[in-house]
Amino acid sequence: MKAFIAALFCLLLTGAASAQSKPESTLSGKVLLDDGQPAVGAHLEINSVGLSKNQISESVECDETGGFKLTGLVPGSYVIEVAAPGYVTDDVTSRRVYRPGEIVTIHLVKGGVITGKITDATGEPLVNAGVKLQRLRDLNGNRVRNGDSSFFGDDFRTDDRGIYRAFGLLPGVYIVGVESSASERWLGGGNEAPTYYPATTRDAAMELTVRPGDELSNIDIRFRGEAGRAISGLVTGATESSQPFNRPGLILLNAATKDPVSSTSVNQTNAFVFFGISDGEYELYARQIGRREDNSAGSPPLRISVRGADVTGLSLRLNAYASISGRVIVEAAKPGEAPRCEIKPSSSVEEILLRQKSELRNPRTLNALLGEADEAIRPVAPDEKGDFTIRQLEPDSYRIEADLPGENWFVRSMTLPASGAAKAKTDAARSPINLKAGEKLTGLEITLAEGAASLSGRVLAKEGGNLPSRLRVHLIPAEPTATDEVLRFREAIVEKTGSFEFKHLAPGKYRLLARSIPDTEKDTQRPTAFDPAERLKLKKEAEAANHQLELAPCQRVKDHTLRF
Amino acid sequence: MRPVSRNLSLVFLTLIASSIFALAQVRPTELTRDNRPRNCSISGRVTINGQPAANVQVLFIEFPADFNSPQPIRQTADGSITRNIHQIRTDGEGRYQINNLPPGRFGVTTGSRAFVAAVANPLRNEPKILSLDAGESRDNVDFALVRGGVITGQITDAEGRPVIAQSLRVFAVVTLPDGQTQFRDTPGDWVERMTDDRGVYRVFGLPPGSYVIGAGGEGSFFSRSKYPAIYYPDATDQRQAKPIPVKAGEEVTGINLRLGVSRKTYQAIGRVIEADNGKPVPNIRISCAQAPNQSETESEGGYGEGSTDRLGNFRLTSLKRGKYFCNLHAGWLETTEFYSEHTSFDIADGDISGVEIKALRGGSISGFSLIEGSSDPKVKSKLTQIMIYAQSEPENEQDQESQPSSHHQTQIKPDGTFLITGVAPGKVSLNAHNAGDRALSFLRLERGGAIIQESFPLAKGEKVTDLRLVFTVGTGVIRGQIQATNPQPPVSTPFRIQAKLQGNSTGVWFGNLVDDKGRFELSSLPNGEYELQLHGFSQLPNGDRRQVILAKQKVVVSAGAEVRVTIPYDPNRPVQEER
Repeated sequence: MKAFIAALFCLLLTGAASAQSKPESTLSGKVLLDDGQPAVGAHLEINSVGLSKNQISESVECDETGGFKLTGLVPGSYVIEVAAPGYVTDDVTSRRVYRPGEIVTIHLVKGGVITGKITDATGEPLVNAGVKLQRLRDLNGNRVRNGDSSFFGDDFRTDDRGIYRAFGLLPGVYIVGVESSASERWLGGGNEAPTYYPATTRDAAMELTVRPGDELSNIDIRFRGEAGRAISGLVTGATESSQPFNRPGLILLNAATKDPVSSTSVNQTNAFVFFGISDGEYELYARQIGRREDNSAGSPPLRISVRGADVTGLSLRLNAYASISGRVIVEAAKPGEAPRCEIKPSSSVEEILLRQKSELRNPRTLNALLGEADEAIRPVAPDEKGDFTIRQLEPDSYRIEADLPGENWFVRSMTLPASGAAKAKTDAARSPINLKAGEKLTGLEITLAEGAASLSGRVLAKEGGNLPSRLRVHLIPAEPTATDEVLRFREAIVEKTGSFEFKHLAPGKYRLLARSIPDTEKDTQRPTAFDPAERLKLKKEAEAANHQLELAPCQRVKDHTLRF
Repeated sequence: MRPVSRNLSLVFLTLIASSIFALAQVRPTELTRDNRPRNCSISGRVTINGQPAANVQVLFIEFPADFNSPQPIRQTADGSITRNIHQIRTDGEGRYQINNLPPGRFGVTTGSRAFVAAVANPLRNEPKILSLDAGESRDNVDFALVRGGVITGQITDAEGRPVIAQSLRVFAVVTLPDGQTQFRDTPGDWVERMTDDRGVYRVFGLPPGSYVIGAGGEGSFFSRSKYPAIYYPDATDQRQAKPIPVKAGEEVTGINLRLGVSRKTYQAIGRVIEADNGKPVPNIRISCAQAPNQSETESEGGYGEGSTDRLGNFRLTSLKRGKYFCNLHAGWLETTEFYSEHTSFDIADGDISGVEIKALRGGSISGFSLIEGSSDPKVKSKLTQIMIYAQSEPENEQDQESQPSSHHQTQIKPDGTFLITGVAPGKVSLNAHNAGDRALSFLRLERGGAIIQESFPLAKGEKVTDLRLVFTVGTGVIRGQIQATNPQPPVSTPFRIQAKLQGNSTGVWFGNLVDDKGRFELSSLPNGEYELQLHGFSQLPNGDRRQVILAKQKVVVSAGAEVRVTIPYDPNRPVQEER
């Protein structure tokens, strides 16, 4: 089954905006194979992102030239899943967002293949054994949060010779395991612990790097058939209102790596049991994703040690999730001030995507650990009035990020209503929003202004030098009073070609600073400027480097060079 | 969306196994102490081609005695959780013996799917089901196996390129008593029967026999294809296909298929507006299905589904040529105010636009639900686990093709009330289903104190508010034994028992398997008179089975009591053919 879906991938697209006056709009483009040939007949599923109602789900097939066109889309952000069996896209492509009006080219590459033979302890081939592939990281070393090697995860099975062939794999770093011998795993109660390539436990599993079109053969596994342990318990809390077909689910993560290990759901009495678990340290989460907000809840993690025996009597309590709601306001341009950069096309508020990011460097919430691939925390789009609610939030400290369409807007401010003795609104960008369990925070106001500037260019090595392999460029507001204007602090990863790009910048004076990224740091880390001390450091470094520029409203600075 | 379809036996076992985990008792802890004696055993011998088969895995899967009653997660005295699956390997002589089993019902199979029973029916593959009483040893549970055959080949498109993830269909060639042959779909795992990235497929574990290999066409849900159907070697008509004889252990290679040019599909664009005022209707689902007699073949009915955006516009894609009939309805667990006028459109040989579906404001039905004979809030909370399904159909059957109908689902709210909107005028019938637990039975539907037998009329836009759904907690038990009055039964197992509550308007019934000793048990029954029906199969000469009812018997069940019955039956004289 997974083989079939190994070819479904999710593309998030980005681009120009549609005219508000013309709500119906078009997404069109081309899908090409790695040899430049059109992906004739490739099937595209185009789904709206971030809408809580009136979700749009459309499908279209590529014609003889690989072209596709979908008309009549309402303003919004869209993802595309391409079904072209055996083919995949890279991770960069799959992180993009489309908005109507854009013309898109999607490049498919041949999915990777991992193949080998599974035998039992006596060397006999294991027939119909379940082989599970887990993608740990992409080729850039970034954690792939859902752990799947394709859109729907992966399960492959051995044939009568014990041979499996996993294909259509996304590029990345994998581990390969056999979940249990032969035909018992479909019963959901495999007694045995999984064995990983080559013949080891999860901790010692050998990592395999799959590049586009790679075929890794002889990935043979000798199944150890070791007894697995059971983990059982009860889920309490918000489950009384649970709906049929919507029982709380449980997710077991490896405590050290936070990789998903197994999942199950409770039975009618809210009891659960996992089988086939290896000895080790785990974190267990329970959650319930309801159709309505009042029906969603999650538990804090429970640490579990499995040591040679079943673990029973666990109890996880569901707490209602918290939410943040508010409104996006587009500031009306005053006469003579902040001219509109473009007459057409202008953007619609429904094309904005809002995401919450955990403030913690090492988040402990399930949402943060599973990441955006997890359905529960897709980004949220405001409705046509600008109203939004970000739901299903676990207690944590959050920052809200706005992904803006077009090039015209920048975020002027994010505020929360005055609370307690304070008369002024709180700056919700400067410090994180702390949410308690079940808290329903209202009144977050995100103000957008027109006249955004943009800046793109390249980092060049100083004479005689080389650029480090990973670089980040920081943009730091240069006005003396701007130290805490967090929204104006921006950072971008420098591409391998040395290029970088900033959009949606507030006009003003800035300093540009490049820093190499330590090997220990991920590309997707929390922005440096969230931390006041780090902001000061950045400011000092930038003053010392003294690469200053001023951006006028609507200015498009291109080919800017920065020496490093 | 993880389909579990495998071969028949696996589907069967999966259903049973998932029930094991889905049903558990209400307790403050998840665990029930497992005090069952572990003094049962099963032994036997596995042979391959008549020779002892060493090191073969034999699996024993424990099934619940009664699917209607909850099954606990059991913990033994040493603190470990009872496993429902046991396994053992055969010794050098091909023998196995598993001891320390608790009494209960076990499905026994050999682990390797590469092997099949020496005398196997390609259309079925069922496990042996044994019931063990305390202290019982069951011997000679033998398996005579042969290595299954293999058919392998490559599937390419019209240009000779490999077709990736293409489903394959495998038909067994069956000879009828009159000498004619028929091709029958064989049970199998649709994932296994799919090409890889090289277009290569490999079907294994085939019982000796003749097979027809095909690809493309609509086939089953999973094997739907944009390519027209083709059968080995290159027939577009299944009757022209060349059967492939497969002997035990034989690998037949080079069974390649070349698919034709993929079929073109079309799209239909339109909008949904309110019939009264022309206003667009957002966020409503549209389902359009090809009339069965309009489709190219019986099994290839086209279907399109979508929903309107916030401007009331919709698009249906991947439509084949033909005439489509459309319906408006709410999404799953959502509500709508509307149903649709009868709408149809034709796809000839191009995309179409301007399809207009007129939405009519429907009536509503509402009321509350209660549990007769119980005021336990814990039991009452189970009401929210119940789904209510309602449908409205034209009063006259002959109007069904021209007049609108509507289908609905909703849940009972925690306060016991329910509301369904957007109901088309007509005769409304309603049913309630519990998601798994049979503890609650839907006894009757009342309106204004009167019992509704089948349906009630709803006028256009009418609001019916006085409905009452009456449930009860069943506590009766029937335990029984079937007894053949004819010693040579040509009827194959398994038998099933069904108990239908008499004089009841909602069709309350319970079912279970009869074990290999002819015993059965039904629990959670509301009190009343039941008709017990013994269902079995009569074997046809071509290997097919026909479902029959072998006996009927009436029995009265009282609350909290256990009734014991014996059901005599003559396997050669079914009392009724089943559909």
